[in-house]
Amino acid sequence: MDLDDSASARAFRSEVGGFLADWLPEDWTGSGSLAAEARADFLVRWRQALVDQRWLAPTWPVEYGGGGLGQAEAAVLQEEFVRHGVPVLPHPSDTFALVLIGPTLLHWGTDEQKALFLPRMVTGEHRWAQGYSEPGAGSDLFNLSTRGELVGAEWVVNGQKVWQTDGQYANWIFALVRTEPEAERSKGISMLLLPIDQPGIEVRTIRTMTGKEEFCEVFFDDARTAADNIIGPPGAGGRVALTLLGFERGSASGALYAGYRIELDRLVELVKERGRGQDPLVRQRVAWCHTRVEMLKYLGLRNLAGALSGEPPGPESSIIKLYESEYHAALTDLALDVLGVDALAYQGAPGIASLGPDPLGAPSSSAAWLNQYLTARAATIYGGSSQVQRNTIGERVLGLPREPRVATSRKEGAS
Amino acid sequence: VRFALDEDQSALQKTLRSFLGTQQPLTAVRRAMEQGYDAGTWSRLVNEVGVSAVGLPESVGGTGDSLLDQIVIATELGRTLDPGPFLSSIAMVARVLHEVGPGQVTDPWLSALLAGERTAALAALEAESGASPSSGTTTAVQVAGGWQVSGAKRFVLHGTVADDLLVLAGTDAGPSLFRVPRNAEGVSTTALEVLDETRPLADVVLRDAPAELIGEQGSGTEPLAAALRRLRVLVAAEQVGSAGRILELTTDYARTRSQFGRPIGSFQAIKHLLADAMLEIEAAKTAVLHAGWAFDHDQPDLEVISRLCLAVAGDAFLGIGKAAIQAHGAIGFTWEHDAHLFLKRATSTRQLFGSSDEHREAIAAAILDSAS
Repeated sequence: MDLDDSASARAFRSEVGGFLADWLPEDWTGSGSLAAEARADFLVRWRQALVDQRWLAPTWPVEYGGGGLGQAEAAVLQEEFVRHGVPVLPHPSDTFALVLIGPTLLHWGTDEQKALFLPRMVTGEHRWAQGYSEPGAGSDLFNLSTRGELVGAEWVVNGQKVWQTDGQYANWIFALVRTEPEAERSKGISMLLLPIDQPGIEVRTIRTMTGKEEFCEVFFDDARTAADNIIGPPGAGGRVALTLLGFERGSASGALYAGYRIELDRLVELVKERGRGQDPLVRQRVAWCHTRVEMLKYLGLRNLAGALSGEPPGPESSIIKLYESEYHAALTDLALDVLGVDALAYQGAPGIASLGPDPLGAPSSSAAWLNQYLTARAATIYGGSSQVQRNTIGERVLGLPREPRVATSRKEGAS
Repeated sequence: VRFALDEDQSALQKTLRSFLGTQQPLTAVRRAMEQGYDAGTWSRLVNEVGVSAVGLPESVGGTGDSLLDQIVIATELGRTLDPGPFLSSIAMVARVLHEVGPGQVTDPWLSALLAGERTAALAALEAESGASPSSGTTTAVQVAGGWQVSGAKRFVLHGTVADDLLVLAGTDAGPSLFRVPRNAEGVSTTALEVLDETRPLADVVLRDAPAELIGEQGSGTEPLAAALRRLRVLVAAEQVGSAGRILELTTDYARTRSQFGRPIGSFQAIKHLLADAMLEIEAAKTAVLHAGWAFDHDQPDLEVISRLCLAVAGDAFLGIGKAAIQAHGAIGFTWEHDAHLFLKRATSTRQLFGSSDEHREAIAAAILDSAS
């Protein structure tokens, strides 16, 4: 066990701290404290600063606009950003580019694909959306029926994708598409990259239960993309999509803890302000939250250590995802119970984050907590529901047998 | 950053697992439930594996003051529901003696405990104390040539078999620690009919029992508290070991037991039950390893860290203890099946070392009752 920063990580931590001290205003209290307009302006400037510093995609090779840093440095960077209340990924679509499809391209892409797409993800010229789920393919992802056909030098795609978070800001989409109709389930799927601004693609927003337009659905009607815009060989899309889940597993862990710690500190203050600090039931729940957040730290450190030592990614992502999302739902339950009748109405300044805990400086208003309470319901569903994660843990960690599959209805459904 | 045991610790773990696998299967634990633990096994654990020396500094005959090393031992002993005196004699009494510091009485006593020549039991709970050590109504008075202790101690682990008792008693100068030979005149011990027979407990009544003062008069509380902080982590480690073992046994059963034409582990109702149990055990394991590192590196907040370990490991173990019975169905409710041994150990450990609620309350106090 060695949980201290290495000498180089310590030096890098102080470099990051120095940069932030110079760059941020002297009276900085976290991006959560900025009003909407100031925040929008800040995020544009902050993103450009990260691009200039090569810290937006810190682990990518320098030739693709990255920083060429290791996972240990990336972990330090993300943790320090969260602690200082500045976002790691300033634009809503950055997650899909920099965490999901970018690393997948680094692993699977051709040199031409990397040179074309990666630098544009960093500059923000390309803004990405994820095209996995369909109306008939949610947890059962490989039941998807959107079709792609190679016609001359282009893929022609028809079908529908749904649940694109912040998809309205995107101009490219990576989509799992059935290109080998005769192949069995997952073996007939390919990962295609499509430009969104074309007549064959229509993006419509979906209003979520938070009242905001946070999701989209994407309709493909003879949508086209160049024959080269496929990641990996035809039929390998399932494998490509699954590898993607293992990337960057370590570097986000410190940030994960820091974010939930800031949020729990905010809740502890709320408990005190509301005079609920002597209620034995509230005390139990606050202490329970403390234990959960601390264990997220330990699980994250173990993840980071595994990544640094070069262990292949295992089912840790399922463990952390399940642990984190279930915790967050329970934490927001507590926040509402502490607010009591004040949770009946959106009062005070609205919250910031659409996913995950609000950043440093965010209001502790009923409006902010209500939004967190609602969005926490989504976190146990997206990215693999808690039930799917439990299947993964049961089967891949404990070695329990799979549920026998009922003969697939895909072919009937798709025809 | 490294979040795993080092090579020496892994080697120790391997040695212990193989030793205990052959020397202390659950059938041996069942024998110990009726006849008391096997002194020969304990002697070999001390002399061949060296479990007593681990975790204490070399100056007192140990192999190094590392809680993490000791965690390895506690975890492996937990896997076998060890009925022996590691917890009582080494993790409790020997550690308290070390925390007290060198002295004419402590030095030879500590050596004898580490050598396995003697065993000892901590007598620190009282009728009204709950799971928190207290001098309570037990008092010590100075007499010609020494001290005499009178009072009643409860739930003393290995209280009927240990050679000596380490007793917390009140004096004019405050709570103090005393050594009382179990066979001395004025000492009577009664074995309790315990829920968990792998952890034999006794009531101890002292009537003018001859005693030797350990450390300074009135200085009993601090060394006990310091030892208790480490003990919580070790008990949590033991729980993680036990929980991991019963999870394995239950998973094996779920893989092979067939109903409705398929293994019951393929049903999500069972799979998710075990997946949740696994999640809690893994998290508790990381908490224990982190705590070992934190103690070994003098990190702040060790009191809260130690309580966190026990709160989460206690819940994780009880969770799988109950799930194991459920997943096994009727066979799991039989005396013959081993599942109940784990459930009872999980239950008794929580109550003997404080329930998870109690530890969470202490954590809440640290978070919510601060001056800010």
